[in-house]
Amino acid sequence: MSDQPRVRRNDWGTLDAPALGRWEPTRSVSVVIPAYGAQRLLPYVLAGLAAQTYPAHLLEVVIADDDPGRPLELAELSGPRPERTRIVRVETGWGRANACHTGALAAEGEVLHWLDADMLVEPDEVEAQLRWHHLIDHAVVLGHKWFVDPDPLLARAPAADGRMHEVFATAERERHWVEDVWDRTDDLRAAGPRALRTHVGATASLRRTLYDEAGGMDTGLRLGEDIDLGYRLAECGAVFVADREARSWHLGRSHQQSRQDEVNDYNTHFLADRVPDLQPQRRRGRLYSVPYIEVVLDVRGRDHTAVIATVDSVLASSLADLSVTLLGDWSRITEERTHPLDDEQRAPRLVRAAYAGEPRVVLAESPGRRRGQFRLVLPNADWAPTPETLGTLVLHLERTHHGLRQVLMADGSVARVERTAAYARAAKVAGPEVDPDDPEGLDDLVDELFGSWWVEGADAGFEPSATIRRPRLRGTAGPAQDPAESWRELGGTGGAPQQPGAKQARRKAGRKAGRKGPEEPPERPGRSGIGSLLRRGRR
Amino acid sequence: MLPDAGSILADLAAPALVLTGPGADLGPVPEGVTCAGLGDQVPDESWATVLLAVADEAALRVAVSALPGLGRAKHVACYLASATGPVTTVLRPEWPPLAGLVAETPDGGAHTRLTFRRPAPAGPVLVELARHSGTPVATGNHGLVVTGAPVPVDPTAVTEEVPAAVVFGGRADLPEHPVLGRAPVALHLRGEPVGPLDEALLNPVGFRRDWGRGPVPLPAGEPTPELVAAVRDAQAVVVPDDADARTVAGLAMAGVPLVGAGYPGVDPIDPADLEDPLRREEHSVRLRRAALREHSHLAWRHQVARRAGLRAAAYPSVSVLLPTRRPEQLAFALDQVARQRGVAELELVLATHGFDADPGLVRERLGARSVTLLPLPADTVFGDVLRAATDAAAGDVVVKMDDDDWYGPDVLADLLLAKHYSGADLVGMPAELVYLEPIRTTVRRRGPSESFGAVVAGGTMTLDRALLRAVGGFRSVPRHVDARLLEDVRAAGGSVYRTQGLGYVLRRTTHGHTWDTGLGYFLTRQSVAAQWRGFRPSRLLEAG
Repeated sequence: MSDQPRVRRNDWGTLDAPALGRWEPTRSVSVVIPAYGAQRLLPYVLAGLAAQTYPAHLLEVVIADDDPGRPLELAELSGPRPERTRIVRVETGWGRANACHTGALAAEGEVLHWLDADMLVEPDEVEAQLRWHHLIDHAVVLGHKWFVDPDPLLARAPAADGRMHEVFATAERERHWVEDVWDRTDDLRAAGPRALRTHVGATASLRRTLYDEAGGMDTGLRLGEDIDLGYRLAECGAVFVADREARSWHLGRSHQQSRQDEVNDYNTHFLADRVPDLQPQRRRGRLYSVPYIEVVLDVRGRDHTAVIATVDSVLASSLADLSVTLLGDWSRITEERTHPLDDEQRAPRLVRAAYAGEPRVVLAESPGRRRGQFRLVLPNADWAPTPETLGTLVLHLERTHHGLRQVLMADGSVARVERTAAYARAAKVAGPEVDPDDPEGLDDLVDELFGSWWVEGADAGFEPSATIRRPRLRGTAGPAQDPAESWRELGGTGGAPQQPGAKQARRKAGRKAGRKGPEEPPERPGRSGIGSLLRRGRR
Repeated sequence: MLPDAGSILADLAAPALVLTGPGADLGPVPEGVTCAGLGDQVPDESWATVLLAVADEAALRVAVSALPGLGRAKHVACYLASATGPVTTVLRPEWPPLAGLVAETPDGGAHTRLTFRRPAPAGPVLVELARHSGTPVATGNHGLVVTGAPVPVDPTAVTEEVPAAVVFGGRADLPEHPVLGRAPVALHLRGEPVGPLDEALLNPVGFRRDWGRGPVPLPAGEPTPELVAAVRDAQAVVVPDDADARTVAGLAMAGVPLVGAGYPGVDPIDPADLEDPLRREEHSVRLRRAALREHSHLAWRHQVARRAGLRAAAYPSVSVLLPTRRPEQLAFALDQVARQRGVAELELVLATHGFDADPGLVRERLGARSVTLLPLPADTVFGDVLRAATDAAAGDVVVKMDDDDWYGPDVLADLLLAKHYSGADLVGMPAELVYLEPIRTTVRRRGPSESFGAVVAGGTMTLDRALLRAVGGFRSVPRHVDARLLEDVRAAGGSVYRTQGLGYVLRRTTHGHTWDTGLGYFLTRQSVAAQWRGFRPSRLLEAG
């Protein structure tokens, strides 16, 4: 949809949301409730839904029953409930994520509203959430909740008078930790790219189309599925709206302290693998399922030496958490008999061979769907990055919250670093004259919504690929060395500037090894290979 | 080791005359030293030392225009209770040879003493010391002598021998003066005058684009360089409704951003804009223009002349030198000249290099303004094109403009204003805002403004035509003519001043099909202060 309002970064405050009770809903909503052992509280949850101000003919409730051993029946749930309430059985898999997804698949509404089976919603909660989805197609609305002891409520029978929550008026309550983030970021308006990390908690809603585009809940996750989905929604350009008027009550005290550390330890391994935005949980030097940055280079028509020099330089970045997509007509490389040196496909064949064993390099014919949080598009194989270049460029983008960084090389070619979420947002709100598949056509819009900047190539650390220094690994040739001497040479300050303590340690080591000869000449930093050959020769 | 103020009197060679103004207390007076206040009768004696002690540089400049007869003395000295730096001078050739010069800054003040081999005329020496404080603005009477005004009007101008053409507070029936050939004009001051204020001391030099603290209250007292220096690191000064108009005007002349009641005639600045360095500086420029044109000595004298119906020294006439080899750029370039305002006498010398300008187009864009068309053959060396344009120019001041850069409507007026208050020989603007056309990006570059001695953009160079001719004009070189001229002016001992460049945007464009490899330079870390997508000039360009 191209005539919807444009939200800059996560500043949803510019959206003109109507006041509650003063607008006409038109979109249908499915409230999806994952249920497991929920018999005790579900009647109150349904009664709360029965009291909603949202038009009944636009509201359906889909309860995903996750307990095949003890199937849930509507008949056993006493009390009022919305007219269009039904139960769907989870037939394969288990867990909240799986149940939510099952419910989503069965849902018929334009909007999906998650609600846990222990949440009592206030009468205008659904209305509050839905108004955003009438303004844009990429909102993810997060409601507000308090944790309370449910006993005062359970002492009464469920009622659809819309006043059940009043029983908690003077009750002790706790708030969810995300509220601290809301307080700090003007209810997420100032949270920028970090807004997605608050996609936790049970009352959230989004358009069905956005849910499908993001790939739906990861049904294999047992915990942390919200954060994983939140990341994928952000990558589709979602705007995270924190609506304090969408109020609900969690029927049960918060157990945050009790097992939270264990929960975090459990989550981190699953989530760090899938969510590059959780940079603090990732470690240097290894790969993850979803890379932080994807580097794209079209190698068609390019000299293979230049391509290999450039790609090797990318792979040598201090930022190892990356993936490289090389675009070429790979399917045209045949195995027919031909002189290897006269092969027309020699250059791409050599490139393919060079990276056959590099899991980070992927060969493709076209760029395809963005695979990382950022995408670096190299214009050619003439300019190669130095080790700190990629890390610095991405960190600059992170710190500025920008959507695009353009790097101007001395010959006028331009490398681009694109923020996936920014280009997804721009594609959604661009006017009809823009081709959403051509990123460059979206640049002006990305600048308007997220910001962009130019930097100079040499400043960023790019050097000509023809002359960039690519250090080789250490040589291994030579006759067999004495192990004790070799070990000393390889340890301590081998190659580094001399330090007095180290020299003493080496003398001590020498004495321990029983060397009785005259004192070895003092170690000089960076001894030449010739010197060590001579020393070896003496033995 | 610097002597403290108290011991200055003790070192004077007797007999010594000490003239003191208010605010300069040197302590107990020893034997052999005679003290007199400014305006008091001075004993008619021969002095070995004459010392003038005043509060600050502003007081020094005012005091020397009303000195009593001081005769000659071997030692001539001045003392300022507070100063922004030491007081020095240039020796005039008619003085006796100098034996020694001491210039110190005790306790935030200044003490300078010249010792001559033979007694020198004390009054003129003191005048010369005062002339070299502040910026070297051309002071004096500017062709109109005024007396009787209850505000200081003649900074460093000595008027005892010149009859006044205007007398304030005088009777309407003053007798005809034999030298003037008519009676002096009698004027009465209207209301409480604010000005005039000394633009040699109160000017934008030293304006800071960044700030270390937020808005501060209006400081009390007369506007002086020290007062201005104390608030240079503040984001703005808050002006209350009952503020002293002189202080406010003085701060405005110096370009100190003002909030609250602000300065009359200048739109107040939005508080959000005050946080943006560019907007804050734009506001400062508007304040400077308004205040300098209203309250500087030069402006005041012109106002008095208009009221009296007399002539004062004219503002300089300007010749714009506009060389171009691109017929397709002509209309654009003419528009930049046509929009200039605030310059009374302006002529354009259009040097078309390799083509003939269409006189109809020129007339259409420039209306009634004076234009000289100078077509030159395509093989003329570029420096010679400018030389020919200089020769064809008739104005007092020459400004070179480029054919593809953007100029706000106040650029010429701002350059002339800067030339006046800086007293520099060559004035220009920095190429601070640059539009990189091939990548459609505007860059604001780092670098100082309102300072001496730096490089200025070639498309804004402003200097007296006589000086340009004296240094040999533009050199006969095919490129980098601007850099050569800057070097030549410097080599001849001329000073270069760089004013603000917010009304000027340099355009970098591709030249045919060759990529401009210099474009990346404007995007380096050292260079960039800010950048925007698209064409984003400052508001002072008044684009669109």
